[in-house]
Amino acid sequence: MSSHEQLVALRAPNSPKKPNILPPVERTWKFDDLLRDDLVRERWEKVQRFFFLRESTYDLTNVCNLDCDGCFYFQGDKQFTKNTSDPEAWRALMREEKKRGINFVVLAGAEASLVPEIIEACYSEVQLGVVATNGIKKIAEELAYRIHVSVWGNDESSAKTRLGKGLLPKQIKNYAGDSRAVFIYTFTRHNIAEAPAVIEELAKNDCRSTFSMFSAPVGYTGTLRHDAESLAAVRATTLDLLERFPKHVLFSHYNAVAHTHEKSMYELFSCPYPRVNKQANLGIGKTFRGYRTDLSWNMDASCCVPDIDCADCRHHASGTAIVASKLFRHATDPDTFAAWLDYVDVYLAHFVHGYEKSPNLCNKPVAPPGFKLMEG
Amino acid sequence: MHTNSVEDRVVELIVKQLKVKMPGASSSNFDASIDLIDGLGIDSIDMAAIALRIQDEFGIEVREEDYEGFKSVRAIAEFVRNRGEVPQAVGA
Repeated sequence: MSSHEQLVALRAPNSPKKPNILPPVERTWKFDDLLRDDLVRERWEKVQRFFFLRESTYDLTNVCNLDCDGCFYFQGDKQFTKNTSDPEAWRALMREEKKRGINFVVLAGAEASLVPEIIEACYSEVQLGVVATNGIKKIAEELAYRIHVSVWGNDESSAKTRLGKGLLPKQIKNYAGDSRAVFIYTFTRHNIAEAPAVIEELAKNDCRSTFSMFSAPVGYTGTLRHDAESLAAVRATTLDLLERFPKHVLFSHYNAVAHTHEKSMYELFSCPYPRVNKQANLGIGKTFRGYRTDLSWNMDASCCVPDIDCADCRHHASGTAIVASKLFRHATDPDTFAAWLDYVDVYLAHFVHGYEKSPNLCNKPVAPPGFKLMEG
Repeated sequence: MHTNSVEDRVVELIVKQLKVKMPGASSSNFDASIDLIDGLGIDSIDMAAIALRIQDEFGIEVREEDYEGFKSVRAIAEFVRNRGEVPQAVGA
């Protein structure tokens, strides 16, 4: 075995899990009765119009201009695939993707903004999607994708965990007032207290934000992984920021519950992605693929965050499919259904450029179906 | 007593669910033989909503794992008949 193969073997994703068996839930309301409230019905019809989205993810390049602790891209073997630098190859892939029904692309790793010609090629074929970027290099304004700009604390923390200096001013300079951009503040165990100042600074510059949780890659042994104390602190912080900056923070009470629960999202909601759910006849489990830079894909790694440890999965992008797909478990009573609608509204606002979030319907914490609000 | 067959009632529920996305859909012009997933492109969340409506309409238990098999009106109608007592159509 070559040294490269040994490294790949060492870093291979964990054994694919099976869908989690969830506890049963009791429905006390009929579905049509849940829709009798005018606001609820309007919100249901608003989000329902977007139930046509079929996504897949694409790693555009294995090059990055940062070096972040716990980076998902540089875990597992996907980092070793060769780049496909010909935009025409990407354009051809997008045409094939459209044929199999894909109409929403998530363009990511390592740093997508370093290959603008590939983003442009993808956009020429599929106009709905997201580009995940660190925001150092601005993506051309004519590419009307949603843009997720990653923020990992204030500049001091970023310099430590991402080996990049003066990141936030550069990010703000590039995306202030840009309707495409949503800043994704990732909470680690160490940057919780920094969030209010960062979110305030972003709001002052007319930058919208939402939150993600550091979710450990398989085999991660660093210090960023959350514990019960940090999860509770993040929950309180995000709800405070939602109240203080309602126009600029895309979040809901149920987002806070789902992403800061002591049980991971896999434990709370199972998972529809092919990495876990290989026999799917319907939904994202049937159509989703995670393409690497050489345009190959592997079902065992087809997940929005392929090398994440499912037992620690609280990632914002994972939740969009994991929670949103669970209508059946949430259509039980008015509070739980309203909480789910808020979550889907947040998901669409932070993934679909042009979709505007409405005021939350449920402004109190609601327990995930079949589980307690908090453990203990 | 319901005057419509199980198939007709299933079509009505599907049309009700899809009316926001497909305003032109109606029970009279709905092709009951179409593949709901690959042919009509029904999303998994829409299918979950259809499953909820099936549960409510027919008073039967539908589990999450059941509705992946709801590929056609006929498949849903068979599921309904197999799962519980269904009022028969008048004259059936």
